[in-house]
Amino acid sequence: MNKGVVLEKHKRFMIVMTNEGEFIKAKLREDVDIGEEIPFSPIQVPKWSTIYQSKKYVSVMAAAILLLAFLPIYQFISPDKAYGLVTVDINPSLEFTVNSNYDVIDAEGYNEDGRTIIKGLKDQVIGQPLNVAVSLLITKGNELGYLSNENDIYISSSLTLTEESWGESYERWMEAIQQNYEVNFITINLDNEIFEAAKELSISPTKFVFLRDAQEEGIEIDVEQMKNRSIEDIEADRGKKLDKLISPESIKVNAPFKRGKPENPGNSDHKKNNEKQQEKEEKREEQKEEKEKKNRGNGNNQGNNKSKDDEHPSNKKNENSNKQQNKKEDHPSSKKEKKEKQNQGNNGRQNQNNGNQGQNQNNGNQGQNQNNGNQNQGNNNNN
Amino acid sequence: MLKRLKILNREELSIEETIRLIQQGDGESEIENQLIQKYIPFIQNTATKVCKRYIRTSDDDEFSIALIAFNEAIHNYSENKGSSFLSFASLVIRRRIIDYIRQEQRKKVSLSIDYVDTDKENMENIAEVKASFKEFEQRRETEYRREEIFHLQEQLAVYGITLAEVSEQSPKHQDARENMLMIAKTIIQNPELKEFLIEKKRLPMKALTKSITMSRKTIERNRKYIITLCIVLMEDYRYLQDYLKEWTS
Repeated sequence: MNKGVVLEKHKRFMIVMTNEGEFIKAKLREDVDIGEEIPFSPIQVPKWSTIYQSKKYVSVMAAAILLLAFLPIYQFISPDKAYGLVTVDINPSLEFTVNSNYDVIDAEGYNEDGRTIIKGLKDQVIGQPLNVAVSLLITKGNELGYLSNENDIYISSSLTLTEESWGESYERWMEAIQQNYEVNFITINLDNEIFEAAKELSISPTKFVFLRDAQEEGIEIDVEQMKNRSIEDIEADRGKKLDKLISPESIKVNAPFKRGKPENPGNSDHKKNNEKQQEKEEKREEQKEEKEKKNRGNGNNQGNNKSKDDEHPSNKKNENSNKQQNKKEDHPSSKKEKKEKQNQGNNGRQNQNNGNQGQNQNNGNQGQNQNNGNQNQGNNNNN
Repeated sequence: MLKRLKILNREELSIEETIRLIQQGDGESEIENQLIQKYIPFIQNTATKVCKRYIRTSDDDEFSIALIAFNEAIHNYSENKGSSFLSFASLVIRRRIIDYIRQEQRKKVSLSIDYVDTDKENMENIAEVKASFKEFEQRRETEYRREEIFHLQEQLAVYGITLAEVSEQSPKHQDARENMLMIAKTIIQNPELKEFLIEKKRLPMKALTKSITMSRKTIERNRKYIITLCIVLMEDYRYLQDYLKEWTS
């Protein structure tokens, strides 16, 4: 260890004089005073002048500068560079841009609806993996009323949607979404070329597929109008379905909520709309009936309590109501069944007719409904 | 009248010559007083530097000590003690004030209300006494050296040199350093070269290249280091010189 007298203290070093007349820059020690003799460790400060002078250094530095100039620029930029695109057509059409880490770095709407939906969502979505981004989009779309039941959601991408790129298993993700919303997923894998061509027209690539097809046939289509139409409508307009236009390997349909589509794809738009409305009406009716059923169930309960004293009128009532119920009720939910079961269990005598009719009229009814019948019969026998 | 004229003439003399007069003659107290009077601001300034607080001429003990030290310097000064009288006087004042401050500190301890006579017990252990005495000596040396270093920095500033620059120029190799030491010694031992250095504040290159078989470039490259060595050896740096004595002798 060298020893020396502290001559000067600077911010980052101190100057020390050894007893051999050497003046040295040493590592700073806060605990020493000027004039004190201390052991010290010198610091080597390479001087620029010596670096310039040495030919060895010059060549090394030149090589380093060359490396710096060519190599790392790509690496620095790539994390924020668009690596892939994923577009979602609900009908609001949107596009998510992801970087090489599959984090969303940009989100844009292709049409008016898409831009409205993304306005309040962009900040939340950026930096998220795709699964989170698209889930957020679906939730938001539902809030804003864009999402109806049995909606088709077209997800087209230039990437293959794996666990790595999507953030979780794509299949599991679809299942999770479908538990909350009755939506169908049509997943389409498209070439980068289509994405680029679509980008020029700023139209969703899925719609661009139709546009291209129409142009090949020599039909002029208003692009602006197409942007705002849903893919189902476009399919109807064109009289062609999407899966006919692209190779079957690149399209995957996950449609558990698919309703019966018209046999002829060539049906006119108008007709189709009518059918749609009809279906909707039917559905509404069903829902109404279910509600009524619930109310009746309660009514039953009350009636049961009363009927201990007065049997006949309530019995009749039940007969009628149950008739109706069993007729219309094609898909009884198990919950309601259970309720009924309890009710019936409580008051077997009154449900006598109910049980019989259930058996006779509703052959299609299986499982618990039948069981009810048996139970009721049993009760009847006891009585 | 004649006496007054004499005084006037003497005022025009340099300090060094005045001091020689004082040292030679016996009844020259008037000149001595005048000299001291003239340098009161200098004495005050030096005392302030050492104490790191403002020293008033009226009621600070440190100033009286500095005055006495200055007087002492006048009588002790000789040509070979430093580059100039003021530089020498400054060093003497610093030393005396350090002594005084140490003395005061020791007094404070012994006058403390809580003073317990534990020192005596310690005194019994000879090794401990030796150790504490050595420590005391070391601390005193450090303080003296510190003042010398401050003085050195001031002197270097006159030459436009900082210690950081010296550390960058300082030759790494022992032989090279010894060569530089030889040059510095040559300058100091030769009155003409020494005069040139003090007057012009630069190395007497011409004379050096004549008397020394070393390339001009080498000397010039180590210019700052050589000047620093000259100052260290020339001034009355007792403690710094003592630290370097093995190397310089």
